[in-house]
Amino acid sequence: MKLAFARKYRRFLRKTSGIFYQNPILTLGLALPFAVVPSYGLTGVAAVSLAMLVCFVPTVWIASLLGCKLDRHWRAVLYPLISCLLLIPAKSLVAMISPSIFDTLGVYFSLVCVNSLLIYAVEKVQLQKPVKSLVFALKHWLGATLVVLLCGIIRELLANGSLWGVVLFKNTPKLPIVQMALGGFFLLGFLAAFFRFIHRSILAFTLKHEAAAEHQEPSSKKRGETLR
Amino acid sequence: MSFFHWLTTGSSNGILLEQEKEPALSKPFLPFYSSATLQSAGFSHGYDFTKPLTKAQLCQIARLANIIDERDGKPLAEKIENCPKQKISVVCADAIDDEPYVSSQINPLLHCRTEIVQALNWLADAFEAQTRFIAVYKNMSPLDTKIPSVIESVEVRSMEGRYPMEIRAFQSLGEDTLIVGTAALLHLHRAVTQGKIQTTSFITVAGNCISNPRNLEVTIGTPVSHLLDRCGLSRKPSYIIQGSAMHGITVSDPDKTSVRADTRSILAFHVDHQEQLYSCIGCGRCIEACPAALNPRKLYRCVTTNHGEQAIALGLFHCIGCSTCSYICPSRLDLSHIITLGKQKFSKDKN
Amino acid sequence: MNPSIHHAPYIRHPNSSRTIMSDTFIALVPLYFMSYFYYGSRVILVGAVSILTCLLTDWLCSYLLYRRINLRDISAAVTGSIISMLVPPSVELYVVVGASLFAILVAKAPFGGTGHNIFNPAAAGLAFATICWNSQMFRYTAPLQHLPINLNETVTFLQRPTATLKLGGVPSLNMTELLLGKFPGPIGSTYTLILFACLIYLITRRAVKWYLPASYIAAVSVVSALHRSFGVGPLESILNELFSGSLFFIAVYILNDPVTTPKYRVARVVYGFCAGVLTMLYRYVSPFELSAVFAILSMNALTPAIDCLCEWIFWRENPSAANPATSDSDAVKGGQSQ
Repeated sequence: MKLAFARKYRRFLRKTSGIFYQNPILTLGLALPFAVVPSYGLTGVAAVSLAMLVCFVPTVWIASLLGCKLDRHWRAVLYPLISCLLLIPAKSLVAMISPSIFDTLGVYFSLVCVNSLLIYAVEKVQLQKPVKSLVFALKHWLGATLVVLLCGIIRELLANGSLWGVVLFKNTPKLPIVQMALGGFFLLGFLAAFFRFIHRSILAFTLKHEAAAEHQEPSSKKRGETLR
Repeated sequence: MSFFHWLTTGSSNGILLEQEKEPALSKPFLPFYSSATLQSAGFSHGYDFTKPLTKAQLCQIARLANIIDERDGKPLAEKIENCPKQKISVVCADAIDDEPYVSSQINPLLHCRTEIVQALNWLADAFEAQTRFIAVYKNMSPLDTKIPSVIESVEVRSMEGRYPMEIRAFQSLGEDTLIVGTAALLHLHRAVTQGKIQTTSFITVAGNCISNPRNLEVTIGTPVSHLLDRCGLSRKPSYIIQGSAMHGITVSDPDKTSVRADTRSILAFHVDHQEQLYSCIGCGRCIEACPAALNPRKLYRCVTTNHGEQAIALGLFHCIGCSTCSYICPSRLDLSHIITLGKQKFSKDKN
Repeated sequence: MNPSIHHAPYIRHPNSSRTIMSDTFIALVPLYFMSYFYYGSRVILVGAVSILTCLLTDWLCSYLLYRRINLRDISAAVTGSIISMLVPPSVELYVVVGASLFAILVAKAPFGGTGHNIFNPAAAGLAFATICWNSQMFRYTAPLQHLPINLNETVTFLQRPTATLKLGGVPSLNMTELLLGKFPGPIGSTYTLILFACLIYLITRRAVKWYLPASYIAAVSVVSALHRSFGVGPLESILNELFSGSLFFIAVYILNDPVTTPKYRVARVVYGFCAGVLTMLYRYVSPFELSAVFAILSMNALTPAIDCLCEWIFWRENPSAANPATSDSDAVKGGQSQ
């Protein structure tokens, strides 16, 4: 076993927990409608992630400041309320990017203020210090944004051959189903499987014997016995 | 079955099996004795068999001759003793062979008719039974000999039904019936008339590896390999079975395994070994074939995933062990074996 | 999984999974011959591409999921040929490849492979192709004109009678044309006589139960007789609806897939009936021309529910309520086995 490599890999995962390790969308399965519906193109992605940044991060920071002082029934009302109030500056910021995005997104833009990622995060940060909770919130926001960005790029390229409205590929056959919600869910499932495959390959690489001369076991068989 | 019943139960009460009893059924059985039979001393019981025999006399003769009924392995003397005299009104000779290849009960019947019928009459007169008949299985595929409907003025009743039939055939008759196998009747006749002890049993040797499938009268204790050599093996068998094809036990060492009194057949099969990589395709044939109207597919899943209470609630202990589900499964799953294992596993847990 | 040679019973019924799938595949081959006669060799190319794609993808998925590749498992070939039968002969090859890939990669492999899928993979692949490439899937050519392998400008596209029915019109087809399939349509699904023969073959080989297509066709006939266009007799309306599109083909091949249908007889009859009603509903309401496929997909999602419902209604107290005579037979069995 390559112990040094394994240790470095685990440390890397710990440091980037929220982005690569416990990714809120691919691993924890939170905030799925926000990964699927608005990510039809880069404009939608930008709008949603900007709205999440303005609504989600301050709310989580406030949650860590308040801590356990509130009863949980009040908590369930207060944090969404704060997040809704923060939606107003978010809306004006997004309007600067592209004003017509609200017609396309419809209710999904306003629903950013109550999503499962928010509910998960505010419960997790109750006992953390404010600086740590800010870093936690930012990491999770970054993880969600990266996934949504990837989805948006793939979907827009496959369906329209364009990025942010700029047409790049003119004559290739297009797959318009990827821009629908149906294709978005399929794509998300396959992305989750793909990243899990990468993670397991790295783990299999670490479990391989360093002395390859004596132990010539094929890596796929090892993969089968150890990881199944 | 009415249409509504057929539609709603989902099961057909069993399956029709290809019987393949020829050529062993029509040819007379051959003797295959060892020295034990040829040298066994007879006994004399001192009764006059031209007059009607009483129950006690028949019981004594059966005990002296060590007759064992091949239907259930019980000694005939015990069976006669345990039946209270007033209650028996029907005596039946069991010649039902509903499993494929096996014909060891009906073959002696066809070739030693007088003796068996006479023994049946003695038993029936001793019990003063009103009805007596011989039971045979109706759904046998085309045979070379025709099975008569009356043998020596005793009715031959064809029992209808799909496999598994032998288990269910006598449930309609009730508690006042005495059922004896035909081979036991033949041994009883020999004991009464000639004073012979039972040292042999009737066995069918068949299967697709046997060159000459026959019924043999074999001394008890003969090793299985002698039987196979007697009938000839055309190829090396994949497995040798003692018992019937659906319920038998594999014989791992034919030289050391010997024949018992209630062995009815030795079968040798050669099967093209095909790798079984299919899982359940959900065709539903096991549900249609199960005679107890259970759901073998669900029971299989419950047992393999260790859900004991759910399996018991679905009727795990109502299974009669006929293996019809395994027979008919297109994916060749071991349904009946797993369900039997489940019965053992979950009854232990319950206790 | 170990072979079962060490456990009773030692004889098995000659029908195995392989024979069932080979029977279905054999029943699909005559349709290829007929459409080669009608449309030329392009049909064979489309069929070969879709069957090969499905088989290779199935083997690849088995390998990726760490299972032993079963080279004798031709259920993917059956899926591929069903997909190729329901596309027009003038379809581009990437449509067929896309539908096959979707059918195996999304509708079959993630659920567990052969025998564990919830949705019929051929139906799912066709639905995918319908949504993605709507224009390509519904332009047909006239029969008895052989198509070139690479489509060029000499090919003219027509609409099929189902499109006329959708608009509320009445296709003018006489009996011979309907039965022999002399109208524009998908590759394999217009030849009614041959489909009848294939259905009877499958029923006698016990790969298909007769009451399932019977209930489906009964439902479709009833609905189309009741809701017919102005001035059309009920029998003519029934014949038009049943045989002028891909409905009969779907009733023979996709409806009877053993994996995705319920297991009890009553449940199957209910399933077939509801699928028939849904098909006619989709025909009148939905924007796509291919409605039977979506109806079958909707009913596939309800299959376990129908099974549970039947169990609950009929066997509420105990499982052997249907056959109480066998419940005390353990004692009789005990002295006889082994």
